[in-house]
Amino acid sequence: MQRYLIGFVIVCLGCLSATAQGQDNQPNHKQQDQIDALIKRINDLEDANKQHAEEIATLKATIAELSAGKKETPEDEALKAELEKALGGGQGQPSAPATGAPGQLKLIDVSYDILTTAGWSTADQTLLGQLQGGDHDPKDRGFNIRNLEFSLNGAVDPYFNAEMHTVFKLGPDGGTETEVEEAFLTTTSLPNSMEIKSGQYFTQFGRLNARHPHAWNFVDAPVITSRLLGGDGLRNPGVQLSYLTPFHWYSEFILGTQNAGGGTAASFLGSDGPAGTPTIDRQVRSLGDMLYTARWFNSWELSDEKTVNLGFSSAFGPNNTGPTNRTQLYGTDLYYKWKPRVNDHGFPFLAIQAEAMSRTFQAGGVTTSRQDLKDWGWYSEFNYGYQRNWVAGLRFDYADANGDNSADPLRARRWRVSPALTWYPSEFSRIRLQYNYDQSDFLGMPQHSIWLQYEVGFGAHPAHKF
Amino acid sequence: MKKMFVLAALGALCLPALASLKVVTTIPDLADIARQVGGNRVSVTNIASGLEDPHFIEAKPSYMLKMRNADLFIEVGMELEKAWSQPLMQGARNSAILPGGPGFLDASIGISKLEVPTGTVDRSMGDIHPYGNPHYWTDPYNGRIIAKAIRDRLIRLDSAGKSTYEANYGKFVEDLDGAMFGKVCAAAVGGDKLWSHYFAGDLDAWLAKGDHRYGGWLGMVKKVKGTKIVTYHRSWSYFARRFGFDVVEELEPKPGIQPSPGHVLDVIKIMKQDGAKIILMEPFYSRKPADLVAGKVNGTVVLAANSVGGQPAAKDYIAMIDNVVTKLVEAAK
Repeated sequence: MQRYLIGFVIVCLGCLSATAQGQDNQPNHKQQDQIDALIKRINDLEDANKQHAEEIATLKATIAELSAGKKETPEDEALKAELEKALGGGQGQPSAPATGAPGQLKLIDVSYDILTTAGWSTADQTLLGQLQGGDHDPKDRGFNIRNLEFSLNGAVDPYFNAEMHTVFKLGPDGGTETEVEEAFLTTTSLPNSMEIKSGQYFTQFGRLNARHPHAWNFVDAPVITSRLLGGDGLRNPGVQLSYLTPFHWYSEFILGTQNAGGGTAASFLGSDGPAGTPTIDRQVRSLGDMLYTARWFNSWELSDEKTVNLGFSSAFGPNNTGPTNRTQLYGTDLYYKWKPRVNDHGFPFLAIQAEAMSRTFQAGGVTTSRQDLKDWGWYSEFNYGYQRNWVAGLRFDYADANGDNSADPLRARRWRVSPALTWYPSEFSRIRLQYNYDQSDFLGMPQHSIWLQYEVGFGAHPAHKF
Repeated sequence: MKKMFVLAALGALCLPALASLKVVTTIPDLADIARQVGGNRVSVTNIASGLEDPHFIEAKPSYMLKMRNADLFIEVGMELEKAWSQPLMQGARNSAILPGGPGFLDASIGISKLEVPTGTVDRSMGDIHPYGNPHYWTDPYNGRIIAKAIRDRLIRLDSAGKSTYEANYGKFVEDLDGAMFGKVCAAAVGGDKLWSHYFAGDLDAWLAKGDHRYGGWLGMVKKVKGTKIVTYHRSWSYFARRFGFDVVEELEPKPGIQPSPGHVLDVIKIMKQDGAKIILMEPFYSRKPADLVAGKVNGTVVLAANSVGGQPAAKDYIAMIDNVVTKLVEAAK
């Protein structure tokens, strides 16, 4: 518009000067005044044009805002209540997007993550399978592809978000295994700081359980989590309600119920029968046969550069070693991170992460005598991002159990030390070298393993949980 | 345990007294503009400090807490905060500030965007922002646009404060135009006129007719116009365009990718060839490659914050730009 206007004026000026030259080489005062007046007019028009453009932009924004729904005054609230009463409490109008770049409809964020590990161990295949308790851990000498994760997530409508994570992995026999690891919806618009999650999801128990392997700092799962929460982590279909309290620090309560069966509830109806206890085919008969979980999660800013998270978790449910046997899990998790405000792409930093957990498992009573099996343990990790894209890590693992457990790979006292060094070529790729020193009552000799892992994640930018 | 709950309840009661409108911003520049325009009718909380690289903020629970009761959430947009604003918004449990509603403001809405990629882009090109370069707030004209967007949104959310917001906006723009063109000049002819002639390219001629002369930042950069500079990240495009600096290369081989020896060598060659002597960078990046290059080309490293609070001198939005202009002009002399 502006361009045409200027063009038009230039043409006019051209004509004018041509006429002026035709009449007289020296423009007289009258003509000079006319030219000045024209220049002034151009400037004024430009100003007006600019102002109009701004006004149009404002109007557009206002229209978009208006169509996006209004903030209510008390009268509006009263009217709304009346309307809700009359119309049976229907939902509000879904709001139209008011902002953002034009013509971009974002429906699904798609990403794919490849986790490949190569390595060697003094432990042979069978023993290595026992030492590497996590289902996505490297379990073979040589190459391991145990976690190919296909993730989708997006907003369903103004009320729900949905996520889906499907994992493919190659078994030792070369076959491909598939897991619907997670598929759930989350509410986005519940009042009173509530949020409901429903579907297949990782139980909020401790820090690591609800995180996918590509968000871990080591190539394998800690000993105690793989023993008590299972190699695949504790996850099942269910529903969970979380409430963010109005306390002045971040404090969240999460209560949930899930199915207690299947291999992803390894301490419950899906157990393999710890300490050689035989299992029975136990049916779900009452609400007491569901898994119930509770977590209290807190976070404090000690300073602008230091954050600490503290959580307490528990899970209660039936187990499959007797018709009335039950399992209780308790855990606590701590996370501390220091990162200076002046940092180069997130470096340097120091992160300390530790979890301790215990299990009481009522075992037997059918063909064997009834006993309470108690298992406990902890791990702690130190990760120091000493310069941009480089992290040095050290993890200690400890696990033990009551009773005569020294020959049982899943209950014997065991400790492990794992130093690791990780290099991130970019945010989307990493290469990790890790050494494991394993010692346990069931092992004759300490075992040594070394793993080189690479991870690439392509697709949508991952949203990192703190 | 019981004691803890009592304490918690007390803590909840001791929350700060409620201001009329609670605004949360992602970067301190937006916070400063929101404070200036909102005045005492708003309380502004900010997330990233000016010392930090806004690309790399973590979605900490405490930030969610800041957002849970907010009436308005303002972000830079153009995917600058993509990695963290989305999880924060989800974790805040506050449907009032979700995108699409009046409680969410993407401050980039009225900005004419630079470096919007055309055709297909992918991550082999580094951290490409598909909506264009998001570092637009370093241009004072964009500061005006941001202020206006914030003013309009505040009026929309709190119409009783209309006159206050308009007056505060007027004052902010007056200060900003005064800094850009010089106080005397801006007061004599008015900022709107100055900008329109600036954009028309006839500012000098037009001012000369009224026997005015501009000063301010524009006056300062006049003598060093066209100075060739190298920047660390491609975060100064808007600033350079406004003030007439010529960015010939970045130390990063591709946006967000660490300077490699091969690329640094190229930078040295380019600087020697073009006679560029200045490396402009934010204080949070590693100085090592910049110092190395400066040593080889006998140049200067100019550390300047592009966000409020990133350096002591950058105490507010206008001072932040002033700090960069002053340092660059000094180095270019």
